[in-house]
Amino acid sequence: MVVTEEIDALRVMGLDPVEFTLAPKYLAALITVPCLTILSTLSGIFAGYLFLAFSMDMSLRIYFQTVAETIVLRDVAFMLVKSLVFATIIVHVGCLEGLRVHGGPEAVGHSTTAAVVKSTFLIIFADLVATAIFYLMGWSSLG
Amino acid sequence: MTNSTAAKTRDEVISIRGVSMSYGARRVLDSVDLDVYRGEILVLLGGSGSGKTTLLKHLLGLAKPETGSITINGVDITRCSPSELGAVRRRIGVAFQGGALFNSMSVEDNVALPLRELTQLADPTIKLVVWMNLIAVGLADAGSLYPPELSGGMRKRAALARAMALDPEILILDEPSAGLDPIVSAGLDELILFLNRSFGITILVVTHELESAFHIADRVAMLYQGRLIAVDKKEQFAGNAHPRIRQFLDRHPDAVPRVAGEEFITAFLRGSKT
Repeated sequence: MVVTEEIDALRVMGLDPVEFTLAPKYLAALITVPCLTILSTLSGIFAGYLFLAFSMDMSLRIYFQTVAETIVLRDVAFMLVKSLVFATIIVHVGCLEGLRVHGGPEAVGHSTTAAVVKSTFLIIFADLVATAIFYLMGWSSLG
Repeated sequence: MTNSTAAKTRDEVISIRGVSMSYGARRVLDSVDLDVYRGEILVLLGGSGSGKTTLLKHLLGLAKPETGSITINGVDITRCSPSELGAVRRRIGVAFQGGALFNSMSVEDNVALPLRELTQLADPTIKLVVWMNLIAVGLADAGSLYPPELSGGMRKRAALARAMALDPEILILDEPSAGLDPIVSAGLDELILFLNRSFGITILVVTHELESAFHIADRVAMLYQGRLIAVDKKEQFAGNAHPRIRQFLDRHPDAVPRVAGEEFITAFLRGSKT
């Protein structure tokens, strides 16, 4: 949008480009990233069943009973809070990089790569911090 | 004295004074002075890299010059507050080179966007204004299409309709006919003339298309290497003797620098043919 002058067009029209580009994406990410997290967690749990079913002949009933006993509401809440933090990181890093693009289509590629690398790093870091906080506060079921 | 009285009779809408700008060591704009008078069509000519686009960015307050001032409707936009800049921009309509339409919105919504965001008009009124602007640019049936579905000429027309939406005093058009076929381009020229003659809008056109420039212009200005080398009524401009202007108007190429070992290469190529 920077390269095709749409951001300039917004500025000239007196509209805030940050509000205009970031807000809808952030809102969308706040809904989709938690959904995606739930989906991937569910498939992880199901993959665990497949592994145990083939390697140890564990029955479906016993597996899910154990899972249901192990997982507490706190874990789910923890997961959702973290996914919201990650959504914030992904959208803000992406938009910041996008708005800072200078030059032609090549520059767009460069900043896409930069955005992916930076947000991946920040997510790992945020995950570390969040896990440490939850552990130290004694909220984690691991502690 | 005669000069100042002449200036008083002609009311300057935009007045650029001594604007300079460089990127690193490269001087992109070199103390540019330019006035745009109310109700005229001024065409800014210049080759690629002459600083046209940079000057345009400065006019819109998207970039700040290192030195100099730009006064639009009496407000110096290089020194004013953001809210004053906003008020100045409200009176300017801009059609960017590539249209800068929002691909996620239909043409109608693109034109309606500034009306929805910046005015308190009721929805039916906005619909009417959008419809009138689309008719003015000849896109009355294309309102529900999305920008990727439009041809190049239609996209430029849609951008023009959006620029016209807030009923601007000044229209700034960046390369309105670049990349269009002669018929569409001529149609766009007529449209620009129509907007100027019937609504009295001051129009600044940035282009390098000579034919279109001389057709629509009241006055022509030429930028070369960041310097404004001529501003004149189009009839006088066509007779300007500046070598670069002659070269531009007569379409002479720059002298091609000789390549080292050129004789050897040509001899080799000739030899390989036989």
